[in-house]
Amino acid sequence: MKARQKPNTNHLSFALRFLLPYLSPHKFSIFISSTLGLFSSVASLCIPLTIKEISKLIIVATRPDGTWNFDAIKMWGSITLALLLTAFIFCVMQTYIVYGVTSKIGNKIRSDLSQKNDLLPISYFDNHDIGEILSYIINDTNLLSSSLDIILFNLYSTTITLFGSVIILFLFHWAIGLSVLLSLPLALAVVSFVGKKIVNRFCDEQLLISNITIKSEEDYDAQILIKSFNATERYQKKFDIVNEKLRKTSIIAEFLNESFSPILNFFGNFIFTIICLLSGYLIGMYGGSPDDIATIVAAVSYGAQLIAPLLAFAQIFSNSGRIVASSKRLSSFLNEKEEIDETNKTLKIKKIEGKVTFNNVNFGYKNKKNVIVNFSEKVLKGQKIAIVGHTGAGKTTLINLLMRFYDVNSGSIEIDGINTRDMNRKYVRSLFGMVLQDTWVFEGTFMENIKFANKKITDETVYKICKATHCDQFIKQMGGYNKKISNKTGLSLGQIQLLNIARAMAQNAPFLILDEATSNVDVYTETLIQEALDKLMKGKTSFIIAHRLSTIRNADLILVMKDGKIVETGRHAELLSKNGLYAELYYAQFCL
Amino acid sequence: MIKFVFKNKSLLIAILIISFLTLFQIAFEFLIPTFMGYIIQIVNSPSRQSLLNDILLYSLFILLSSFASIIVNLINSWIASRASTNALAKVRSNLHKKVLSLSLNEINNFGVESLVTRTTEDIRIVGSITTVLLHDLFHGPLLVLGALSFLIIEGCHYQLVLVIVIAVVVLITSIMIGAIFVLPRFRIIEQQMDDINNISKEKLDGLRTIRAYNAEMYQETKFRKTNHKFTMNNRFVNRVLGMLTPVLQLITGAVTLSITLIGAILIKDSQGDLRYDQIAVIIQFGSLLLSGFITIIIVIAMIPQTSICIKRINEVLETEMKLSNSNNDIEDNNSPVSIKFDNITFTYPGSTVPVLKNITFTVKKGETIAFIGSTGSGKTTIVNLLLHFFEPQKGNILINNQNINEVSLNSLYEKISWVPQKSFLFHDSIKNNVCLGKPNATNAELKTALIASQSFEFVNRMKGKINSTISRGGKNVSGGQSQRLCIARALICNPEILVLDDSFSSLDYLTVKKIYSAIDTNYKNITKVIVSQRVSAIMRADNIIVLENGRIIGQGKHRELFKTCKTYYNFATSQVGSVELLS
Repeated sequence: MKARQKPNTNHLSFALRFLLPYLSPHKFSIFISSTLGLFSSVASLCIPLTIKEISKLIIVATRPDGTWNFDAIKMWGSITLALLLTAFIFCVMQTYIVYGVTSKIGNKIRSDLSQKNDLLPISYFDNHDIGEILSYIINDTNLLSSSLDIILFNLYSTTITLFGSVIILFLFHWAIGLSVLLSLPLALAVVSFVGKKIVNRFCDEQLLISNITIKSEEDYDAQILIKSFNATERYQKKFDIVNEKLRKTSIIAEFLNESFSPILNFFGNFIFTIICLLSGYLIGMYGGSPDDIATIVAAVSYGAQLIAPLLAFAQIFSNSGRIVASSKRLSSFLNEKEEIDETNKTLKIKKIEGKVTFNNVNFGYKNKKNVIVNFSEKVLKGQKIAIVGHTGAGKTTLINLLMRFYDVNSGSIEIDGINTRDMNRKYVRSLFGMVLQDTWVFEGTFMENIKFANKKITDETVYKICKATHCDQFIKQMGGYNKKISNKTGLSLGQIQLLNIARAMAQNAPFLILDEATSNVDVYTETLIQEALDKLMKGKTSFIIAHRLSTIRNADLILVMKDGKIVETGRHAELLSKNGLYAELYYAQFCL
Repeated sequence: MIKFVFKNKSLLIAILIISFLTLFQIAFEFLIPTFMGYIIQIVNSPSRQSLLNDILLYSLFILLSSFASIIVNLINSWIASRASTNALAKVRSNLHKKVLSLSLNEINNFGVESLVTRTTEDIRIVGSITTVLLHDLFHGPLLVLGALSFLIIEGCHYQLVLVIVIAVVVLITSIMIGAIFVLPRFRIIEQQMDDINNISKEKLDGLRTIRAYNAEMYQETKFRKTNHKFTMNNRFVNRVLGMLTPVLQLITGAVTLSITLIGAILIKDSQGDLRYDQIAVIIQFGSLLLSGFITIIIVIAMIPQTSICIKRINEVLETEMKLSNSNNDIEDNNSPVSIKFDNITFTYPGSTVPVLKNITFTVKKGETIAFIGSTGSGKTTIVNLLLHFFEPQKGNILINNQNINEVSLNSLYEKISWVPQKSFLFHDSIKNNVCLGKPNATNAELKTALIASQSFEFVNRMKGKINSTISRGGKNVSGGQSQRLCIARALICNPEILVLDDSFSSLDYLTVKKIYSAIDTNYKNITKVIVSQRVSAIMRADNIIVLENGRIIGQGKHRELFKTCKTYYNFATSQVGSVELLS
């Protein structure tokens, strides 16, 4: 299968095949715009012919025995004007329609990409860089839609202009037509060769620029460190090395870019020369009638008309590498395996009690050995479960499984007797209120950030909760509940954490997950909100991950994890008396 | 813009050479239609002697002049690209150097992201536009001037010149009208592009939270709104810009037609003075003139954006570091006092509320001092002042009995090493990360620092050991691991003063305990300054200072404070949960 696909993947046709589904809804508009483009090009093609007629009339008149036929000149003049206007109007209409279509397609691709993010499993994002996905949405989509502009504009019109001009030149004289026809592929080859070079150089340059960006980002982020460790000179040198590489590449990239249009012009002039030479020669050989002389002028303008389509083709050819690469990236991203659709799973818990059972759960992240082995535990209604252990011991893994961010490899997790995998994962998630270690606010008002997607929450509830979580004070200080915030607003980590707690409280879900929920809140405030948290947890089954062991002393069950495995379970007192890892962790707090 | 060019001599020289060469280029460009005119004239003339030879000759001339013009053009391109790229590489290096020298306050004022944009994107824009400007600056105007003077010298009739002038006016007006519609939207489009980027980034950053709250649609709706706005604006701009091609075609066509028609009348009236071939040449010159104008317009259109970028770059280059930095080094003297804060009051720039009020304390050499207090009490500010990132408005800070305002920053940083609150690792090898302040550290020193910071074990487990690369943003090590590497980085310098600014937040108690005892055995006589929120991390200190709202509200050893200072007592009990263990 793969082998058969391979020959095509490096070709422009790959890009076209990727774009085809996006183009097909706009079949009608594309047809209309192409037809308009067709008319416009045909009209433009006719103009040199009508001008030629006028020239002929002038030349005839200036011959010793000539007379002026102004009626004919006027007639051809009006026809030319009509053609000019027709070409203009049709071209304007075509432009209007084409940009309508391409902007819609760009919009659709971006939406598809964004929506894809909702359908991919969490594991995809744990293994891929965010920056990469962002560049799909921005850079690759922009490149594709702008090259689509070129393709749609030139689908017919360029071909018509190119071949029309050559045919007309053939009609003037076969020798002129033939020589132009022969020089065209040569011109096209040189132009797309140079074009490809430019694009390659630009890609190199782009890579170096992104290196410079990354380097300066890092250096500026750590500026105070570099300075305070007296390492400024060394880091300047490192920067200058990359900068020098960029300089060398940039000179050539800029030069090639600047040379593109002169080279194209040269080919224009080359064709111009051929036409002058041949037509002059032919006239010289066979005697010059007024028609022949006017033909030279017309032929010259056909020669000039060839340059524009040549440029368009060159643009496509020279960009083809990037276009193909972009469409490859997008199509492979859009084809990534999605989470299994669960809309048909409608099983719900009739009466939520709050029991959670782990039955022989085994789990390992992709390609890695199992981090949770044969874990079984019964959690009763309203219990408070604490998970403790060294950093990186795999505490978050359990949460990942509970929330169905990941699915177990074998065994099962049951909520009130129902396997979580038999329920829709959205439903499972709706059962939990959750505060994560990686706190998150989005650009929106305080109110929106707390209510989030849940429309049922009233403003009054939000006020009440914010008072309980001690958000109220700083929200009011910063400008009230309808003040817009973002992660750049200057909220401290602790404040953002409090907002996340408030958000979880507002959901009022039957289960609660707190993953290091107060790690950035200062100790004093922590004691204050602990009260609110206790109130929140009352009657709810809750799972807590915490560093500060003081907060979990009253837990009903403590799971102690080490290197991804659960090594001890029990209550605080039991675990202390076991004198194992928990006791070690606990006593370390007091005797440093 | 002009200032920028004059500051760079190489650019000035490039401009001179290019303007000189452009004269030749245009001369060659003008020869092409002239020769074409000759050919038409020859063909049209009644006498047909040596006709073929002449045509051949003139065609060869056309080819030669177009070849000569492209050669000159290429030379110009090369000079322009070289000059502008070199000039901007220099600017980029200077900018980077400048940023590294600035103080924390100035960096914060600009914002790191903005500084990065200035170093990369702004300079890139200025660079590529400078190339185009250097290349085309003279080409457009000279082409216009040349074509006009040619037409006048050739005795072209004013009616024909008028046609061309009208065409130019129509062209400029229509471009101006387009620009009025389009230019303001450009900035909006850029903004909306950023918005799309931000919303997508927001979504990816908060992926787990969004899924946990089933808020996928909520976020998606926001994305669609922005996407729609962007699409609409983009479509409008593209449509207006797309009109340029048909408008140009129309104007060129109209010029050709008008000149031909008016030419016909003029030829008739001139009674043989004006010939058809001259009209054909005039048409060619007319289109040259139009293209000259287009070049000029493009160049003019580029100037505003470039000036903005240049302004942004210059803002940084012209910023001066406002911290005192003398050339004196700190002397090693026998002063028993290592650090002294003498009645310090400090307000952050731009704020009116002081964060520290009348802070006074001294630390003897080899002692450990600790600061505790809730968020916003001023703990980190003390570190910022000690490290001379800011200067207090009132009071003096002395190190080894010397005012830190009167010594060089370099010598200060040789004495002090610190571990920041937020650990930062470079995308570089572990070795280079740890040896930041001591590039020539021996392997033994490196090993000691790694062992002391409890990093040796996990570093050794990594594939490349000390040469393993830390990925960007320290993603391949855990928060606790990166904190330990940052501690190693400070220890390897074997400083006189070690500052730990809440540097244990991701470490469990057991690890912290081990680090403390390793520092005590391997790095003797270090003066330690510890900032923490955990009582357990500081209870062994020789002197503990309790801060609240920028004031010292308690000072002493753990046992004393536990009895005398209520805030401290609250801190301690809330964290440990049992009084017995502490007293």
